[in-house]
Amino acid sequence: MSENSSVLETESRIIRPFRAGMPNLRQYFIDVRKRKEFVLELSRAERAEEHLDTVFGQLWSVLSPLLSAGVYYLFIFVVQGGHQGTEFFLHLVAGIFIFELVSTAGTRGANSIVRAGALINNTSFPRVLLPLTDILTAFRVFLPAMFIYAIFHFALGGTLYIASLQAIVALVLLVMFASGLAMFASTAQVYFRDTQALMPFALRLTMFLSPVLYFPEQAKALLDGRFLAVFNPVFCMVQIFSGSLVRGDTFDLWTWVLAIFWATASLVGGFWFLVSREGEFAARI
Amino acid sequence: MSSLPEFNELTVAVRNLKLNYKTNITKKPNFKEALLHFGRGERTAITVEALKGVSFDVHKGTVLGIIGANGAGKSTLMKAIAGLLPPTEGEIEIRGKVSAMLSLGVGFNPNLSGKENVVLGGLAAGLSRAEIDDNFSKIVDFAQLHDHIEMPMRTYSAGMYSRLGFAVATTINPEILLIDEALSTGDASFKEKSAARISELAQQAKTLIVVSHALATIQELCTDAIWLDHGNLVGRGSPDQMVAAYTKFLNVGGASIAMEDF
Repeated sequence: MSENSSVLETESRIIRPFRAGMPNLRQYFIDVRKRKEFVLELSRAERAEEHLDTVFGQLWSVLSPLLSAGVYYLFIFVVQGGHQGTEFFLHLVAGIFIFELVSTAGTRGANSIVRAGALINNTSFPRVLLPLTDILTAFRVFLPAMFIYAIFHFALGGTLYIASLQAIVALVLLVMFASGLAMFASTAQVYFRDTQALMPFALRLTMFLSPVLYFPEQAKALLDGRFLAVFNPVFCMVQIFSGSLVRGDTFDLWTWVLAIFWATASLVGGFWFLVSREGEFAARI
Repeated sequence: MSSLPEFNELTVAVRNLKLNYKTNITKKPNFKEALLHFGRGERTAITVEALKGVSFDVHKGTVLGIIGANGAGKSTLMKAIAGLLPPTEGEIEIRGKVSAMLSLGVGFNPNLSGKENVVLGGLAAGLSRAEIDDNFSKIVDFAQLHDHIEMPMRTYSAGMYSRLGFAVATTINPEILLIDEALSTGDASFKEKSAARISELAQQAKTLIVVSHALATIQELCTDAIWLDHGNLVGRGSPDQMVAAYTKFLNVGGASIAMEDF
């Protein structure tokens, strides 16, 4: 964590005050790279602990968002008074699944630093590795869900579009956003221990304000959804992911600019917030 | 005698170290408490001036004891040397691998097994998987955990935690070993075993820095001692000299509770 930090380095090093509250970022990234095995091993151990590495554990992790999709579909069926079509169902499943990735990363990640208090108080290492581990775990849990989505997609008559490749870019952007969210929430949890408890409310609100339970063009409030597209960070990312996957939609430059802007802002902002505060963690936890 | 110059080599140099940190004063650091304090115009955190310009050098083969009352800055100094808390002013020069046994040492996830915690702790500290695997059986043997090493750490006693932490910290062959109040748990035979390991490491020209409230531990294990008070270095000398000065300062006498343990 300090500019010369890694415990067990053989070379001589000098620990100095951080400049403007930040460690030497070059050394920081070297330390992060050197410990990639730590991230892989911690994620593996935590998935094994929660049985997420077994077939039934993975099925259960897919079943939960799938049931949510079923409940929301039923709710919308009752409210709208009829079927919304298979396209809408696929949109709902894709949206719920991708939101589950963001949600799992955010809620798990929020506790990642406080949970590792004993390690923080004993070992010097880049603290950003802890929320990154939860991102990896959330991503690994998400992958079987996409397999289930593919089964639904083709079973319900969906086709594979060239435009669907955009979903991969949207997924990368959503992982960037989720990483920033996890870094921000894990740091906030050090100062406010109820951050993790507040995350589900914030995430549910974000989901309702994103095109998950409705198609983007169905948003009527807030300037026909244009306000949401600009100020809801995940709106455009979810729109691109689901739209390209389900309907083979293509998107204008503005939608891409907003998606890339929010993904980058979240990643850079979350990283800066964590790294600028991590010098205090050993005194606060 | 050819190894004599090596023993004079500097391993840790602390120069004018000042360290301030912020800590919560609320019962629970959460939004509710923060809002209530904000409403009353009160602060939720205070800045602690833990170290106020501390300077000292440590050489190879030295077992340095740090003594002082609660709040003297001993643990903060250890955390600064371990690279856990960045200095506010001044600097710390470190020459060699540092291994620390501060707070509980290992066991950051009590739901994972002792083995998984050892591996994860080692990887976090920058060791390779091969280095951990090479030393793993020595760690288990020294900690006397045997089959318990595969059990979740939530099932461990305080002594088992302590033994495993000490075994990990001393087995990975550090040049500088930091031990903060970690020797007070564990039974008498393990204390004897850890004292022997500390002497062995010192003879191998390793540098050890030990914090303990048990002054007898400092006198028995250390070759040198410093005394901290309210963030200032108030004395340095032989362990006997420093312990005598400190106990006189406390006015508790040689047979006081400060001498107990170990």
